Amino acid sequence: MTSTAPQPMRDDELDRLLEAALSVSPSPTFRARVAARVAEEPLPGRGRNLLIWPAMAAATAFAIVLIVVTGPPGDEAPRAPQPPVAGTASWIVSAPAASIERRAPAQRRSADSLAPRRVTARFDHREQEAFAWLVTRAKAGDLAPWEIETEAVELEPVVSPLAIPPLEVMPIGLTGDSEGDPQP
Amino acid sequence: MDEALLREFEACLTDTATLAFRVAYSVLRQREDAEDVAQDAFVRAYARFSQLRDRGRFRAWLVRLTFRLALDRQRAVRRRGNLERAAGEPPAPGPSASNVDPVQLSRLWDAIDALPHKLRWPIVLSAIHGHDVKEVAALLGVPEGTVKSRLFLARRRLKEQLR
Repeated sequence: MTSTAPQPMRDDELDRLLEAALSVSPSPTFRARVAARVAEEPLPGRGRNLLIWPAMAAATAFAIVLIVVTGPPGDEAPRAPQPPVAGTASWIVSAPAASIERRAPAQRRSADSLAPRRVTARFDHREQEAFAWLVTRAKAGDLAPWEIETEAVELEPVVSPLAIPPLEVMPIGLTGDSEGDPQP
Repeated sequence: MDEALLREFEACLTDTATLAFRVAYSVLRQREDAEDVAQDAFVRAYARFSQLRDRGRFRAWLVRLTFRLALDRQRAVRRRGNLERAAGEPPAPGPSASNVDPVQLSRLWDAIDALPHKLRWPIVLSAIHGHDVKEVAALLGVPEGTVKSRLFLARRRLKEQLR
């Protein structure tokens, strides 16, 4: 008992099968139908050429007119690079206000802290009266510094004088036992 | 000038009508559909014929366009659900197919449909008009060595499936 595996198709058999499968031909009227259909189509490239040439002519004429009116591009002198000028920071001055308004709140606080503050001084009413008197006298022209009378203020002592009793100097007597107290 | 162009196109049509039809037929397996696709391909080719007046270039361009249009038509037919009708009909026998078993022909088409595209087109084109490797390479726009290796792989797969 022998098992025979199916053999692959031979090359000539495959060629014959392929030739038979693809040896079909179109119907006899096929070429005539294609020719009739093609004849209905516009000629290739004609419509496009009709539009391209006038457009190219118009573009060329426009370019010539532009060059004549404005001059050739090489006539203009080359512009040297401008160095930055110190102290003319016009762009800073002309900065739009909107950019300032759009600052962050923290930036606004720091900028406001740098601005000078207006301080209101408070004076005593006697100082204000004295200052007004000075101003009045100065305007009148009869003010001389040496004529200003000032009240003599008697200052009271902050500390009362100490009552120190006078010292009594006694002469030291020379005795035999002047060496000191006897020792016990 | 236009008459000369038209005459030149008619010459190309006579030369390549059967080729375009067979390329479409290898995909669709329907004579009427294949003729419609081939006709559509010729109409498109005529619109661009001023750029494709070289005969070799025209043939290659026409083959690729017909393949693409046939695949589009095949997808449209499948979407319409007519695939059963197309598959149920036996393929139209060619002039030399009278002595070939229809069942074996059907198996051959199934095996060709199972091939990937890069193996399918060389084997189909080589079977049409007996194109050699050089002509198939020119039609597909790939090197001859590539065509040789793809033909070898395609034939081996077909022979294995048709044993």
